[in-house]
Amino acid sequence: MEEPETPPVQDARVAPDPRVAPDPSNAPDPKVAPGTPADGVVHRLDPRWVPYQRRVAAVQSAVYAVMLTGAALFAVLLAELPTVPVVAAAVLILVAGTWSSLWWPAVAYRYASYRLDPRALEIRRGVLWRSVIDVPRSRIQHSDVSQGPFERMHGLGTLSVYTAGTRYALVRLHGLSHERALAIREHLLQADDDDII
Amino acid sequence: MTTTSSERRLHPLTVLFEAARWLPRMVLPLIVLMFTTRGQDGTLAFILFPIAGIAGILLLTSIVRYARYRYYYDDRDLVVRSGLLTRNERRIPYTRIQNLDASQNPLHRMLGVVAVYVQTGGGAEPEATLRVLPVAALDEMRARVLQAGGRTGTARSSVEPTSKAASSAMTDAGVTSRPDLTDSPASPVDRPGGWPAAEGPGILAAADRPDILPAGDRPADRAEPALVPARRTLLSLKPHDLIVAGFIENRGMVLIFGALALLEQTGVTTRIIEQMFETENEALAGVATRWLGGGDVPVVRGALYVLAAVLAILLFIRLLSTVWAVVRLYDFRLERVGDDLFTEYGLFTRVSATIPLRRVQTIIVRDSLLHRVLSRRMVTVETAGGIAADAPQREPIAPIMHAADLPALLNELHPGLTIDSLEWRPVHPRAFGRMLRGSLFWPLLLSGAAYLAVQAWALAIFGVLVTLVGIRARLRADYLAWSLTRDAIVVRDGALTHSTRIARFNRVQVPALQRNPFDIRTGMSRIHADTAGARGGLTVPYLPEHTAVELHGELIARTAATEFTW
Repeated sequence: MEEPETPPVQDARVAPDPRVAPDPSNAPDPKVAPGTPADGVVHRLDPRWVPYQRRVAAVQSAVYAVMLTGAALFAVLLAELPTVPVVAAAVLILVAGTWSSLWWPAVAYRYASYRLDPRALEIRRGVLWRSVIDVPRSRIQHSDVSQGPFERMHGLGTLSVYTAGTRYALVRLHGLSHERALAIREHLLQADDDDII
Repeated sequence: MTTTSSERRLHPLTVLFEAARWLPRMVLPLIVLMFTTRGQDGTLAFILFPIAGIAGILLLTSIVRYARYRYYYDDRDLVVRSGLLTRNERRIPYTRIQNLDASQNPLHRMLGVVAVYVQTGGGAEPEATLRVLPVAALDEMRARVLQAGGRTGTARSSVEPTSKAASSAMTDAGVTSRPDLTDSPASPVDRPGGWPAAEGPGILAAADRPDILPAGDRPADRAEPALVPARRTLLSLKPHDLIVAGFIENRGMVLIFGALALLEQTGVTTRIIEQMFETENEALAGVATRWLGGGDVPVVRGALYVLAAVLAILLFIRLLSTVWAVVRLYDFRLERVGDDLFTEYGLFTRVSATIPLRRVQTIIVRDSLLHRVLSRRMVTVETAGGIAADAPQREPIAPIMHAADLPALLNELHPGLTIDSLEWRPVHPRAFGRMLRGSLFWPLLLSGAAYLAVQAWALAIFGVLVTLVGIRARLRADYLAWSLTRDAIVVRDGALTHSTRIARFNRVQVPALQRNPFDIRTGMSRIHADTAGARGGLTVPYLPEHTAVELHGELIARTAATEFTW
């Protein structure tokens, strides 16, 4: 599958969810450390996250296409269902699925952002079901960075943050550049050391 | 490293109790088989030998497991060693132990042994089930684990100024009333454990790090008398309290299902059902025709009979529930021992549980309509802990209590907390509409089904059902509210059965703001304060957007400002 070269979303909106407007926690924190990952600035995900998602979706679509073809063949040849409607339905599902999986990542990208300051890691995401998750630094038990084969292809990494919570025992931040993910984890580790001293 | 001489073993009766756990499951089918295969000796032997073989292997396994099982107390860890081929050494740091539960069924009590469940935080953490130990070993474990866990409750409790006054003011069936404490604001300093300075200067900070205590203050260095923790009864339930509790909680069906399951295992149910179908069918049919179809009993009287029968059954279930509550919770006691809560209850199987106060994640106060009529309350706490699948079910710390005694108990759990004088903040004015629309599913479905049977009458049914869910939604929308105290977030919710959940900021892990498509359309948001524990914190739904954003910011600030300790 062909990879779009340019980031698909060019608008300069920083707040990803326009309806969660004035957030007092967005005010500049005197303790923020510019130059470190804890800069207190709202960052969008790495633009490569969109082509990465599309590639994953393309592979998934291919798998579904094979399964759907098999199901259609079964329906027509063995279950003796009428050919035209079955083929039409299969094609429709496939086209709709592929189109939405190519289109959706760009939409999701617009609604995703993160912000790290000395106090907490804030993650915003979701288009229909939106959430703003704040993991206070003092609640992070440990964190790690992982990179799947497709992520490696696009230079991306996933930051996983573990807490003692229940629903948010594991909070994942996808779509960071691998270097960025490592830098954030490194920063979180250093902060831990500071706390101990 | 401790020498092997201080290693401890399970009680030798372990083998017997292990066998007793699986033996019935093997013997019962065998008995059933013996009856069903009467006269076919070949078949019986054919089945008997493999079963006997399996039983022998299992018995041998139990013996080996007992023989290899060792545990000992290290400086920091409880160490459990087990295994013959795969040797396993499990270290459970005392500071990680969330709860120490014990259960004693009548046989255990006769033989002076007890099953002990060591529970730690988080599902992935190790836990240990010591089944069975001599009773003295449990006492030793409590003393060792709870002291070494850094709870220096021993010395502090003895200097606690209110403990004597409280125990003398202990009421018959309720919590000690302590007006002197309920109004006093707790220390403004946010300590890791959240306890006020009134408990003793700097104790808790030190409690979390026993190693930084000055030498003379270490628990081990203290004089012997100080090691006996002061006990204070917070709640003790008399049989009449339990009868009320059982009547309110209405868990009679549990008993019925339990009995059915037991019968099912023994294969009796099938026999009964078969018999019923064979012999009772005709009699039942006769009664039915006489009541419903036959002319000699008027329809009204038939309906009255049915009504009376239904009422009798409902009453019977409530009656069973009270019996069940008395058996389960007989002689219920909730005590404060140093910094731990200790509960003990049960008529036949005696269960005891130790809950360190600082492990309490969320406090929940529940009151159903009946609770309110009788001015009672129920209080549960959530702790972070992987609860062993075979551990006895944890009961509420206050299965029932007088509403008047609630402030004293809450103050014990969370000093300075009162939920009566909170400034409750409402949710979005349109929350009622959301709730109503959300609950229209069943009225629509039921009246739709009714339409097939009674056509136009379905409209009337729909009207009644909508009125009912409307009342429910109205009650809930009026009651739903939230509040921030000095050190906690509180939310109350419920239409008829109310529940008030309290989570301290230093227990909150992740404050989250969530919006589903309905929220987005109506300009609402929900706040979820995630904590460790079974249900995981509390949720404030249907908040106006700006309020939610504000509350979220406040939660982040207050949470991040505190330190979380296990």
